[in-house]
Amino acid sequence: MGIKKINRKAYLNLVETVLFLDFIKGLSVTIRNMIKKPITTQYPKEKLTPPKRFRGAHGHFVWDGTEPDSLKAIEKFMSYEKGKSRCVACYMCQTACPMPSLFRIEAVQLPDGRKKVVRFDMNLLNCLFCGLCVDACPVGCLTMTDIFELANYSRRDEVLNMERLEIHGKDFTARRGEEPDRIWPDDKERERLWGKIEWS
Amino acid sequence: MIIDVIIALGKIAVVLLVGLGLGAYLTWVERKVAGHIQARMGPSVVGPFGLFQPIADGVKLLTKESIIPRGADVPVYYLALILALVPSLLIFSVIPFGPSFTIFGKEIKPIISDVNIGLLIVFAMGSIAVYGTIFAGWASNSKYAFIGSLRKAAVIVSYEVVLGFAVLGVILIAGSLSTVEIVNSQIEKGIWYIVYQPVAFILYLFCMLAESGRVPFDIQEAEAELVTGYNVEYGGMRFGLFPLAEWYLNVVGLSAIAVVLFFGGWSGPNIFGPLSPYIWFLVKTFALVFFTLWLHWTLPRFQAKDITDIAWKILLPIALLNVVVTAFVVYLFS
Amino acid sequence: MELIVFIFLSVWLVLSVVGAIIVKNPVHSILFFLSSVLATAGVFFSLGAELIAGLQLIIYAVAIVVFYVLVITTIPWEKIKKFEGIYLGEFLVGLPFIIISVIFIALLINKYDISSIPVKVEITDNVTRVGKTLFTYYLFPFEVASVILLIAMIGAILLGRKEE
Repeated sequence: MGIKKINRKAYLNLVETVLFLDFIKGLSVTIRNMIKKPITTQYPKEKLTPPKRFRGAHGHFVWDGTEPDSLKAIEKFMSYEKGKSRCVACYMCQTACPMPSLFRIEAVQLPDGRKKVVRFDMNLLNCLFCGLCVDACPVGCLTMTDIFELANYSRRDEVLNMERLEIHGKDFTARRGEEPDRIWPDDKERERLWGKIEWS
Repeated sequence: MIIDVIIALGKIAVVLLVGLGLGAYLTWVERKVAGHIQARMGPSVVGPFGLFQPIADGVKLLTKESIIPRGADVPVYYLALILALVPSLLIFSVIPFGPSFTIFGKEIKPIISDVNIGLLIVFAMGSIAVYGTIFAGWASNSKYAFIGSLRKAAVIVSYEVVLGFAVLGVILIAGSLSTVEIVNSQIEKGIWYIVYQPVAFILYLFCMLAESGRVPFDIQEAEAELVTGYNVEYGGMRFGLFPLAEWYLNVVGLSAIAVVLFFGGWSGPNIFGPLSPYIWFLVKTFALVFFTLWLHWTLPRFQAKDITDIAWKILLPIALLNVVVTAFVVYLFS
Repeated sequence: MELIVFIFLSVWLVLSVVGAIIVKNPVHSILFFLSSVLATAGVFFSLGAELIAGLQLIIYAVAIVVFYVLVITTIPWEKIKKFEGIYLGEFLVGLPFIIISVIFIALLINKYDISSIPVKVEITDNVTRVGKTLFTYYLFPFEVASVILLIAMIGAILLGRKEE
């Protein structure tokens, strides 16, 4: 299989070449762009709202009555409080993770036989935000929020502990919980940025 | 005698200040145009509409550490800067900004030197600027810079020829090499020479882009291949000087010459009062400069081999044909 | 005023010519040569021969020197540094020509009174004058020169042609 050579004449005939038709086409595109309003979001001043499914920093959903059935079934084996993390320390997230050592999960057994999660740390410096841990969570606890400003002044601050995960989870539920679970926040916004899609 | 010298110095000072100031502010214009063409904002933080951005850039460039690469030929390294800047400034010496006027009984021409061979000076200066490029590349002892400078030399050698023949048509019609005379003959005939010489104008435009190293002929910079070409080893304000001379001063100078040759210089309806000719001249010049920027941010870059190919195999025959036809027409109808 | 300009330009010219001969680095040499060409153009300007000055700039300073520069700058540094001697043989070969030209110039100075030649020519329209003279009085030599150039160009194209 050789290289197919395409002549310039296949695109432009002589008259079009002489009149610089290709130049004019390109120039008309750029001048239209120039008249158009810029699409820049000036980041620190304006911030785009990411879609709900955005894979940002992690969070834990808390016990607030919206638990899935899988969690209700084992409710009595767990030591929990309302408004605290739903985590059951099943290690599914760590198993699913391509970089398992970023998790530090510990649980203890209380004297009455119930299980209590005492530690759930995530080192986000190692995280690649693939979302596999979220898919693996059997009790609908671990989630990913739309928080994307994750820079910090020290490496220590990059480790999410349970309190911060709960805060993220509560915050995310409060802000975006009611929103329908779609890739884009709304089609108007997408049309403004990238133009309308025409389905056949 | 003394008054003449003072007037001459005054003209030089005005042109220098205006030229260099414009050069600095054209960076802002270019970045704004480029930004909006790509649906971005351009500089917008420093000052209103980012208007203080050139000053900020200048301060940044001046306070930067500038190093000389090891193995560089130091005298030539510095000489290249002068060789790049001076010809671009000298182009302005033969640009007529308006008709001559009388002040205190003294006739003043708004042109630094109205020599008979104004256009020859323009071509000579436009191409002497190539030495700045070549020696900058050679003296910095770097392969990227050197390849860039050789490419520029090849481009200049080919396009200088085309430029000369392209302008010959206008010279034939006007019957003079002096810039002032060419404008005057257009005003007398009441027509812009672009009507008579559209082909020559397009050829001139190509050569202007090539001489000032603008897209699609910017192979001497070629960011993707040569980092930034011949000036890659320069630092600080020395680095800023080359684009200032080549991209801005050269483009403004050659655009002004194009206005003189093809768009009737300062001619235009008298709607701005006594300043009208100057305003018309500047408006036309900056329309052309804007067109150059517009082309720059639209077109991709030609390959190095294509550029000399176009010059010798396409543009030069067309230019020659144009000259011959013009000569016949001028001979038969005058 | 004109004298000052002339002295400045001629000193510049002589210095750059001497420099072009004595410096070792070929690139510096070509720079001195370029400077001498520019100085010559300046001398022509100050003498009122604008067209010659312009042509000097365009043809010598740009077209010809660019080719020299193109060739010379591509010489590797090692080869530049290798040569350390004096061009003795070349000097001996050139000596007769130098002597002959000195004698000729001396004869010319003796025969004609230089002071009677006008230093500055007051011609306003150089271009028309040169054109008229070239195409009437010197038409035949001009055409012969152009034919020679044409043949040279064809020869160059033949030499530079890609072998099929």
